[in-house]
Amino acid sequence: MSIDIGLEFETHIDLDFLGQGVTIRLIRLIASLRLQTNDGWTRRYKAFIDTGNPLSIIPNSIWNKAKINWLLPHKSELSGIGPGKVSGRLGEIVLVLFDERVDSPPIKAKAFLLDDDKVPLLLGFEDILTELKLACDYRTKTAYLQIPLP
Amino acid sequence: MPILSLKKEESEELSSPEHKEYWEDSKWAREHFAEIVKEYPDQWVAIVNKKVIAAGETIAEIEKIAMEKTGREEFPIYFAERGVRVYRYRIGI
Repeated sequence: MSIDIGLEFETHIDLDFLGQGVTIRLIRLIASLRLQTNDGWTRRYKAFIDTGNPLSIIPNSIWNKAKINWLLPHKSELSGIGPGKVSGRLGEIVLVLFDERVDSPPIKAKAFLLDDDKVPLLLGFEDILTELKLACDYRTKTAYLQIPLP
Repeated sequence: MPILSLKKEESEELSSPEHKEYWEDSKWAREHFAEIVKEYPDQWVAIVNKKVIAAGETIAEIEKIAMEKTGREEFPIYFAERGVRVYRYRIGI
């Protein structure tokens, strides 16, 4: 048995390319989630589904309210496109995904927990897309994560 | 397998009367995202009652402003991403 948690598409046009006469759509696939805290759950947050990331990434303002199982004692650095790096630490969190109709069971996942908010909340492969089926059809604006029930 | 059993009391806690407003504001944000990005490029924004109620560089900052202005605990927060961004992963330990 499983449940499907609906995902949202967020689409807008890249203004810089548009100014040069080319239309490029900036499309993001978005999930809604909460993180487990020591005495309940955080508020709702939006996360990008990111198949290009092996690991989920969580901004500081979000994870610092959550219950964390630290996996490594030291910090690491993450490089992006262009100059500059962000730093953080590897930990394990528990989250629930939800849509307008239904909540998922709690899901334990490893994540890179950032020192700041320079990167949005990204759900990557490890423990998320490795365990859940992702269905995505932009033409029909249909997308969901299929979660097996325990 | 990282999927845990759902406790009944946690499930009830996750449903609340603000649910409908949260999704209406989410829908509004998606429909007006181009305008949001134009006005608040690369900032975090909080959406309440179908408008941007707070914008800033950190989530903590906009959560505080949005809660003070509206008294609401729950509201959608988006990153108004301007331009093509690829979040490449390479960890240096």
